[in-house]
Amino acid sequence: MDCYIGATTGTFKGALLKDNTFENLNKVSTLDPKSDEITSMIWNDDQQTEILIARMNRDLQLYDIEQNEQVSILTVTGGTGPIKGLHKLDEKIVTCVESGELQVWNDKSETVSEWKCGPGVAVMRGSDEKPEIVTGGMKNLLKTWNLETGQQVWSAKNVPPDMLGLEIPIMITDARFIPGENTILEATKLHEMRVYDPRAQRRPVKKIVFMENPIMCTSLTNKTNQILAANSIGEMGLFDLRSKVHPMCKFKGQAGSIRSISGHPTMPLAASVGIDRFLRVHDLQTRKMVHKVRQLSKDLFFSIFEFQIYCKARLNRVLLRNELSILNDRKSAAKKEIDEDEAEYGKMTEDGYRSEGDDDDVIEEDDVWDVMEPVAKKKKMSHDDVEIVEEVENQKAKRKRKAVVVPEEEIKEEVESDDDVEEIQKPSPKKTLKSGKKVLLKKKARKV
Amino acid sequence: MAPKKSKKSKQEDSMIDFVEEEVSGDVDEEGFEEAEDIVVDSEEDEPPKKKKKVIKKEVKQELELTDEKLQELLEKYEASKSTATKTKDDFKHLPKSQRGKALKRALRKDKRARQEERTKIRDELGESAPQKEVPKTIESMREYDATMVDEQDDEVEHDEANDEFAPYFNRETTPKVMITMTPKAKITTFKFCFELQKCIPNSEMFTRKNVLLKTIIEQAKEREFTDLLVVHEDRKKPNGIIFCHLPEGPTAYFKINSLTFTQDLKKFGESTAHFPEVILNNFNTRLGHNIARMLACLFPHDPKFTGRRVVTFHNQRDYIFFRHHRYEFKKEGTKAALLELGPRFTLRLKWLQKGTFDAKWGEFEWVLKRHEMETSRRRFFL
Repeated sequence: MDCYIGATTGTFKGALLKDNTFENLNKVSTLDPKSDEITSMIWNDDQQTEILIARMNRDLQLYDIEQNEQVSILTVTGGTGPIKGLHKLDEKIVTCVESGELQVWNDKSETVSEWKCGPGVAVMRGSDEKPEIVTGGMKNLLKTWNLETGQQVWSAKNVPPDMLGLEIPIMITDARFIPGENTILEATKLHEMRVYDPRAQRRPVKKIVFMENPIMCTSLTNKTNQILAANSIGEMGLFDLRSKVHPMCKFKGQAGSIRSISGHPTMPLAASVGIDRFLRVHDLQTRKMVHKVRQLSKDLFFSIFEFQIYCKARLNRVLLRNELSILNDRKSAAKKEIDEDEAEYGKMTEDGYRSEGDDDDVIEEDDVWDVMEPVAKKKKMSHDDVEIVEEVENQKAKRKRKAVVVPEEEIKEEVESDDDVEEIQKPSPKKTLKSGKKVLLKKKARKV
Repeated sequence: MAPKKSKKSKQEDSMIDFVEEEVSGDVDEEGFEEAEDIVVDSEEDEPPKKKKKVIKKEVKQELELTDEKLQELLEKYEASKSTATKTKDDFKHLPKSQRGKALKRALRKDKRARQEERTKIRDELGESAPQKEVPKTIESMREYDATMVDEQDDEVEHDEANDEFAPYFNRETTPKVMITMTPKAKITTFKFCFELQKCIPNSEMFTRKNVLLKTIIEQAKEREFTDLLVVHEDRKKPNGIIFCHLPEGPTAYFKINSLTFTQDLKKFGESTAHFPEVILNNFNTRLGHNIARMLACLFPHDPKFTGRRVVTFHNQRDYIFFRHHRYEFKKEGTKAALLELGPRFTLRLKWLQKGTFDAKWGEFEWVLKRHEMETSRRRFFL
């Protein structure tokens, strides 16, 4: 199984991308959606052999992938509403229900500590790097908590009122830590994502507007600083947190609201599910639904079919495994390729992508210089020639000029073209951009 | 193929045969009579020479239908299906501007001729004739859709047993419909609402009076309405309908096309108060199923068959045709006569939303994204 999916009817599904099929891992007929709907799902360990599943009736279950068994481990008590977030930290499970009761459970399913984080919680997510969690929801500002002490570490401040002096409603739908950056990403129903830097200030350091409908979920991708977000009419976009261009691209295919996205940590793949009952896997590089054989490098092929699996029920949560049946086992080669690609994306400007300081580019430039050297010599020659030509013109000896100049004109043309080359070499900003694009094009052409 | 000379001679033969037969009159066998008819027809039409030859052969084969002949006929049948006799090169003599038209005309004629040829071969083959092909229409060539609902699918059944319409189908609720319209609706919209009210039993009509839709939904829930219809208008004509199932949703938005009021029909009857029968046609995908269930929820459970009233929702290429009839059985009981009663209109689904109406913050289950989704003319969603 490559993907594990939780549905609103309570069915827990495993999808095999290689065969383009899915399978129900529990019995359908006995389920009652009002109590068995899957509201949250996380991996229980780093090896990805167990999954923690939270149900609507606040039962927490552990699913063993190899044994194909589901075991109920605990039932969350206190507060109201379904479990909105799960986090696993060294044998401890953190749960948070909608009314704001946050509990930490040990492996004997006893409550270790408990505190409240305000009503209307929509999301609770933990950090991989430090023992902290982030919570937020409707009329509930973003807060981070220390898991060991149970103290609030940082809390956000609402954005300033709008031009009419009206308060901006707080409608958080998703929040997560960005690994390696110490920043927090927040998605809101106001079709806006906000990036907070807890070290700097309580207000967002960056706002990203995406389309016109509420953003429902976000996800990390295989590249740092790149995230995925999707909204309530099934528009999914890829964003670079450093760039000013938003979104970098939009993905096609979804017909309805997307409830969950899961990006692959190493490969440029992302799985998304929603209430249109489909599981879709997108390729983040080609920006298309992965559906055919694609060459990653000379001897490594992705063998891929169309990954749009109809799962028959509205889907709530998805988890994408690290080891996929569609990927070849020669991962090292694939990784190399990805690194190269990452370099290719390079820094972004308002005009689009620009490669700068790329290894390949340096080589290209060297090539250019190799070509340049003889040209420079010629050019000195030609300068003199031009002067001569001018003199000749002044004399207005037409016949002579024809006889002498014609070969020289050729040289003149050469000079002009050479000048262009040299201008490009000089670090005037606009021209370098052009050259960068040209280089990119060349590279693409070579790849093709 | 025989050389030209022999062709001509054969033709002459056939002519002679024909004359002889006509003289001999009724004496011949039945089969021969048929063949004779065919010859007469061909004489009148003056078809191309080749065709005559074919007919001639058929006449002979009619006499003795052996296996070989049968094979030959079948082959010929196949050949007449695929090969066109005219090509572009046949019209080289014409000026360029006329070639295309001439070719088209010739091809059309050729096609017709081959069709006739095939029917004749079919007649000859009788029972052993190959099956007629299903005509290629946009619908019959519909693109494969993974969400087509099988009859026996436990998961879909389970899903449907637990969805928002389940109480209706378990007979726990009886439909009660509220019909309203845009604020400051014009006369045609009112008229349309009246017609809807006539057609849907147990429905009430309210003027909107500038009340917010969300408050209307709350009030309707309190009064135990099960469905809410809001008619939208543009340029003083109804152009859309919001259909919200209560109390938990879902909400659908339909565009109204080609609306004809009862008064404008050529012949119409007066509707009665009997509960109508509901016919839902061609809702095959998962989305279509949902929409069909939603539409079914508008009408009470047990139709009164004495009223002979039928309401039809017929889906064709994602357009849902609404018709309202009274039927009447003729004396033999084989055919039914129809008398149209209600309005006539066409609906097209624009979006389906989970939950009651909330266009801004709500979650959409399905949205028609025209440029993205309409990749092919043969792709349908309902």
